[in-house]
Amino acid sequence: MTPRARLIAIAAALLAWITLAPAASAHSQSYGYLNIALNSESLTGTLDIAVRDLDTLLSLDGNGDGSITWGEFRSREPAAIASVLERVSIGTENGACALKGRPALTRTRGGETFLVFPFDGDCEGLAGPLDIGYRLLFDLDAQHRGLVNVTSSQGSQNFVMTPVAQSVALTPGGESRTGLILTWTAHGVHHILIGYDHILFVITLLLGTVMQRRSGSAWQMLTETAKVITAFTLSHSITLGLAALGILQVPAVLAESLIAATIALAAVNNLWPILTKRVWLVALVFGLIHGVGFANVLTGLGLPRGNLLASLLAFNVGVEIGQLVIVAAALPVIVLIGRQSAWRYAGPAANLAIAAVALMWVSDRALGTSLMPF
Amino acid sequence: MSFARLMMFAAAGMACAVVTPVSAAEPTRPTSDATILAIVPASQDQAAASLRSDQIALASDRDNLALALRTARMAIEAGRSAADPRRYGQAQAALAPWWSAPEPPEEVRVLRAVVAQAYHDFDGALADLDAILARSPDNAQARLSRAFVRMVTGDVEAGGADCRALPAGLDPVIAIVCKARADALSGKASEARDSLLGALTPGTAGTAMRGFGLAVLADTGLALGRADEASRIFAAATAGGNPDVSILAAYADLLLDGGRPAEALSLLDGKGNADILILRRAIAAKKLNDPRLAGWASIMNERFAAAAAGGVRVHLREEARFRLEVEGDTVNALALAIDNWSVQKEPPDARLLLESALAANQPAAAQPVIDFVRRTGLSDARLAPLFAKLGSSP
Repeated sequence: MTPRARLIAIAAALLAWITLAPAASAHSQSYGYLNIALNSESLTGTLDIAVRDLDTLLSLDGNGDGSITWGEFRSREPAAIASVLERVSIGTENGACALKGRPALTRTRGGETFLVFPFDGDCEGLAGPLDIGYRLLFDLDAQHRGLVNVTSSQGSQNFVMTPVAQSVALTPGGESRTGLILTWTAHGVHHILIGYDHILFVITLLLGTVMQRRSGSAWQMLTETAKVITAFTLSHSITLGLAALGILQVPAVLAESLIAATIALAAVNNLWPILTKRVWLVALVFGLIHGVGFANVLTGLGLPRGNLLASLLAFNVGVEIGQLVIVAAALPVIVLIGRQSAWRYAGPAANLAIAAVALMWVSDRALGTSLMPF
Repeated sequence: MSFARLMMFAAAGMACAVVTPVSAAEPTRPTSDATILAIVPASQDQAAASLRSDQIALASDRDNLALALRTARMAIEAGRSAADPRRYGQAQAALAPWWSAPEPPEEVRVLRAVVAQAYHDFDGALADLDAILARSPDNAQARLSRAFVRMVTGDVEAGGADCRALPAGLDPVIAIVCKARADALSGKASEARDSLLGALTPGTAGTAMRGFGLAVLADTGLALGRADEASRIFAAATAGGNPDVSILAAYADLLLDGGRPAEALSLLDGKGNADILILRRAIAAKKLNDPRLAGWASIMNERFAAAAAGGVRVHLREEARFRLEVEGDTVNALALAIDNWSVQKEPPDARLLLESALAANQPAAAQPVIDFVRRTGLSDARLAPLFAKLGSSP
């Protein structure tokens, strides 16, 4: 073959293979992971880089046998730490943070071993605007991507670093506050809409209202419902606030069991007013317990410390929005059925069914049985 | 700069895109110095060693065009044979001084198209190849590349035209293989097989084109229902050391289709960790109730999550197949198969969309494949039973 023909033949082999298996559907692309946790005066972080990529950067296989061992890495550890941290920068208005590496660790990601480089940064101005730079490997692998996560009291943000975007500017507060409020409102809506127990409690309250006011006008029905829902909102907001701020502490198991018990009691009270005839009073008292339940969810989600009150309020607003959605959907149905003659049986049957479900929840939550699927 | 390329850079520049974080296990510090962290090419691997030394030389001589081209070609060859996307990124990095130029040197531009196509940026690849061929219609490398990019994206007729327009004076086997592939994709698999059998004489042994020609012959055989012939070719091609990863994957598919998952698993044993191999291991393990399934499935899921976080979309075919055959998630499999079909339109892509549409009980979703087969005349034994199940004969 002439040199030209050989070149073309090689090119053909290179290019043509795509037809039978796409070339890049492969090993794994190269990713680096930079995680930074910001506190008010200091920061900690980790930088994960695949052993293969660090080898591309520093030629780690000292004896050339094709295996990179921990020993081979360890003999070069200080230089490796310096080399990777030099390619990461965190700058504040007061200047660049000095990053100090700690001993390296390893973990597996996508079937590949990564070296994990933990570091600490001591610098002033961390509460102000930050500039984060990442320029690992880009000069050797233009398809390398740096996945950056920054966590602070503001919440968590993610960025992708590329050869043409090797830094990102972070401005604290400002526009992210709107995002924060929207996020926590959404959490609130989501929580009540997936919280079967809270939905069932609201429906039980509506049932009670309709049963008492069947003969009343639509206006009476609406004002009575508004009174009940307002009472529930007021009381659960109080305990939600107190519990979220750490003033009131109730173990989750106890709160969850009590919540189930309030549903059973409210349903029974609809049929035989053993507690009170005033549904709004039921809502007010039992709402205190439901508020604790909301707060436990909130703790699980991790309220941002820097914007505690704003996020708490946003979460509560979300809960109320979700609650109004439930009322808007359920009330017309209950009222409509309430007008039918079959209500004489259907109303009590519904309350008894709710009480039964709620009692099984009490048993599941307090005694650890599994009578209910959820 | 072409519009598509401009869009590509704009997309790459959006570093602030909000993405989901990728979770990972808690890290630990190994206690033994003997712990192996990674397997890399050994120092006696000539190709890898000369790529490494060229990369080091290039680091202090970035504007040396000849050195950059040589480095990029070696990186691309390494990427192709091992199905390793990192190597294409290394090729791109070697060409960095010219990479973003609107009119880079022609040799750089061809390689830029190759890298773009490897990352499934077929529009970007075609823009470069069109520009090269408009100026230099006799650039065989660009012509051949465009023929195959056009075939991958479903423009089989135009791809075949490029095969016929390959410059005279080229090794005739190249043009024959190119045309045979276009024929095989447009209902003339039998003719394609005959011309390949005639061209791939023992005299071609040892040439670069022979390996590729045999792979095309094997795939054409499968389209004709000649699994035994394909099996023989694959077995011979994978018998030596360090076999081509794409051929291993094709061979594993043949074994899986033939109800021989245990043989597929042993074929792939110790052959590295390319996505396309782990996917097939997971499929085989699932059929065999092999306990290693969970590990392979979680590797695939972690890789898909990383790609999603990085905005990388080259895994559509593999992810759709994984969701369908390993996880039985028919809803997401179909959505991915539809996305994948909008990017690439080869027989495996057609098969994936038909299978996903059937599994999700949404036969209407298969319509684009039916239309495509009507337009191109594609006839493939691997698709025929699926069309029968759909109750439609294109």
